[in-house]
Amino acid sequence: MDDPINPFQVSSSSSSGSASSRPQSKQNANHLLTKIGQSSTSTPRTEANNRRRFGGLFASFGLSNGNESPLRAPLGTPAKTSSSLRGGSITNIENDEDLVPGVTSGIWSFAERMKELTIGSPAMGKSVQRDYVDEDLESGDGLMSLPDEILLQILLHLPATINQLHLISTISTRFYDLSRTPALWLQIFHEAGFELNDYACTHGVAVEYPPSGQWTGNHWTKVDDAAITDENPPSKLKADAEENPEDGIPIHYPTLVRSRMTLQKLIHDPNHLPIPTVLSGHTDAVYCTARYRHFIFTGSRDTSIRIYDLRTQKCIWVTKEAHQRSVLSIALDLDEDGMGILVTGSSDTSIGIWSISLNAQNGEQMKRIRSIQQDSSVLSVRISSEYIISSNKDKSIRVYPRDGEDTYDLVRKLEGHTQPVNSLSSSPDSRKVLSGSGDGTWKIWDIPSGSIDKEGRGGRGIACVEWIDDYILTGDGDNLVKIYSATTGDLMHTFKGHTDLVRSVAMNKSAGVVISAGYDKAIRMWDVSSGKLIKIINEDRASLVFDLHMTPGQIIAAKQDGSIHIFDFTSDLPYVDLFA
Amino acid sequence: MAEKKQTVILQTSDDEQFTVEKVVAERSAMIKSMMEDLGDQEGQAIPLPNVSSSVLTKILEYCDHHKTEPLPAPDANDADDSRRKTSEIGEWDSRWIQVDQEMLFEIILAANYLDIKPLLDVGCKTVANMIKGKTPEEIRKLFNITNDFTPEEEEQIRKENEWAEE
Repeated sequence: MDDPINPFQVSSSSSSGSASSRPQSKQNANHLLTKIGQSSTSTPRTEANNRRRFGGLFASFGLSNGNESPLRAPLGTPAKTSSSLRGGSITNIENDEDLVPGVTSGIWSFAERMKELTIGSPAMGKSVQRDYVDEDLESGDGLMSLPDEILLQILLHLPATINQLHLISTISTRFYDLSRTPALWLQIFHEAGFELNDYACTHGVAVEYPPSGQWTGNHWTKVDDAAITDENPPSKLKADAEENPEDGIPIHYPTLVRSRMTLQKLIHDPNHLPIPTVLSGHTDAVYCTARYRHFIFTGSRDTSIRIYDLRTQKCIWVTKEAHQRSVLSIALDLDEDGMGILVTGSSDTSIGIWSISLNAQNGEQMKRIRSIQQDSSVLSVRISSEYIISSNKDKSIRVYPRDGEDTYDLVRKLEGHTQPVNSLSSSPDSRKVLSGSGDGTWKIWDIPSGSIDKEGRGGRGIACVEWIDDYILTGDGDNLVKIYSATTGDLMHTFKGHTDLVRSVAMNKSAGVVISAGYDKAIRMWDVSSGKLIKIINEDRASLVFDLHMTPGQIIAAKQDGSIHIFDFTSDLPYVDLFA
Repeated sequence: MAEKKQTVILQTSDDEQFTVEKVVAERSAMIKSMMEDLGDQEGQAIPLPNVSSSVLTKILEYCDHHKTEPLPAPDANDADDSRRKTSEIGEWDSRWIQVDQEMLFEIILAANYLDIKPLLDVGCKTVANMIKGKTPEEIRKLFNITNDFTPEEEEQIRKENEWAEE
């Protein structure tokens, strides 16, 4: 193989970034940032073909497909059209035109050449044939005569594990370069059950260079940008982010996978206790929380609603006397731009509907749109795409139109529970709602028809329910947490350990854990697959816990003493904000 | 239609001509789209300058065997995914693909060129199965790959990879 490329120019950690990797950064920036769907020099036909061919490789791992996916390598980069398709001469493209020879090495340049590689494909017609025919067609060079595109397909058929990919990377420099392909890492990521959040899915752009920082075991040390000197050149990531400040989140997939796997280790390590930060401001018990990106909304017995920014840990908004009595429940639905509505339920027997803006440009805004007066305490509220749903102390569940303008006339009253309905949770498609009641049952209601789809007995008085994917969770007065299949209604596990009522349950599917807490003040974390307790995460057990939330990296707990505790499994791992 | 099977003429790189049943040739999305583009030009050969007669003979065997199966949708990314997951190769296919390495890679290249997705998959899976479970040295030996790393580079990769080894 005549491939003189030094793979380390591509992928060695930025701390060891060689001098030769610097000069090209400017010229390359445009290439690296080119996203799918941006203009390219190819004919529409080529692009269609390209999409068909590589969509599967780069984009279909549970993410959006096709041309729009940002999680593919930037295929849209114009590439030289005449280089050889066979014989792994990765270099000839690099020596092209204005690029500094030899520096754009590796799989990234391979990715840039993806378009070019399709010259071997049929849709290109005549020109294909000319380019594709290679002098050494007859002689062949075995496996290494296959184009990168096909080698990549072969690698995608191997077991999607880190060890297998690492093994591949040690075969030769060409395989090393191939092993950096985002598609392979994304496959590992998804096979391991990990997911990216919506924001990352819509804004992620694969980049070739790792973020500036260094691994030491499970720790990632970020290199401060201010510390950049000649010895410590700025990372590509930085350049990319600057080039594309609006909506691109640069993602270096090998680092992403390592980070997520490290986080998983920390979550499941019984001895790793996350570090809590305490948010203060409320003067009485915090009953409920809702999260939007790094913002958290809280409702309290002190009748106020607060908004905290998790990045600064500061309260950025207070609406005092939002209700006349306790704010018991809160539901949030905001769009991409941070605009939308908040719905609150209170023991003052009303539902509050608020317009919210967290738009960076307009600043934070929270305004009351309307109140819906009811005749008993509103214990839980939910928003779906069409409805606002409340559950009440009077044992009923009420459904209102979401965009009711002035009227908000009751659409439907769901009756069937024989005790107050403590908790609601929407189905993933938001067509159904799950309710948990003091009568000890949970029920799934079909909202359009008002009929009961499924029900089960949870125990003595269900205090909380949660519906996540195909899982239904309940916490009850028998101090138990139960997990059911939403499809069959079958009980999968009973988590035993709490010594008092379980007031809140949450789950993070990709972390594979359920968390629960309540009147015994301990926040317990359970393994979904084994049904066993992993650990109690809080050492400080001074106060009852009323509400829990979990993202892979973080647990939020609302407490009776008016505080909100934020438990970070890690504060330093890269991309931790992108995990779902 | 029933009395006379429609055929198409394929011309290989070594100038051999094959008269092939249309349903067989249509396994190749590339030939299919070419036929559509050309229309019904009776007797005109479709040139396949990247495929030799020996490889085409082999591939036509495959196409003939699978001619009654539904063609994959042209934009079937989801299908791509599910195909990838079922890494089992069918019984007939695995017997058919028992060829020497040179032929195997020729088949893969031709399948790619002719755009016969299921065949490309069978080829890629076959190579993946050959790689699976082998050490880097065994893989190099099997495919005649030169280890072109410097010792320093090898050391660096080892370091880069060691985090995953518990």
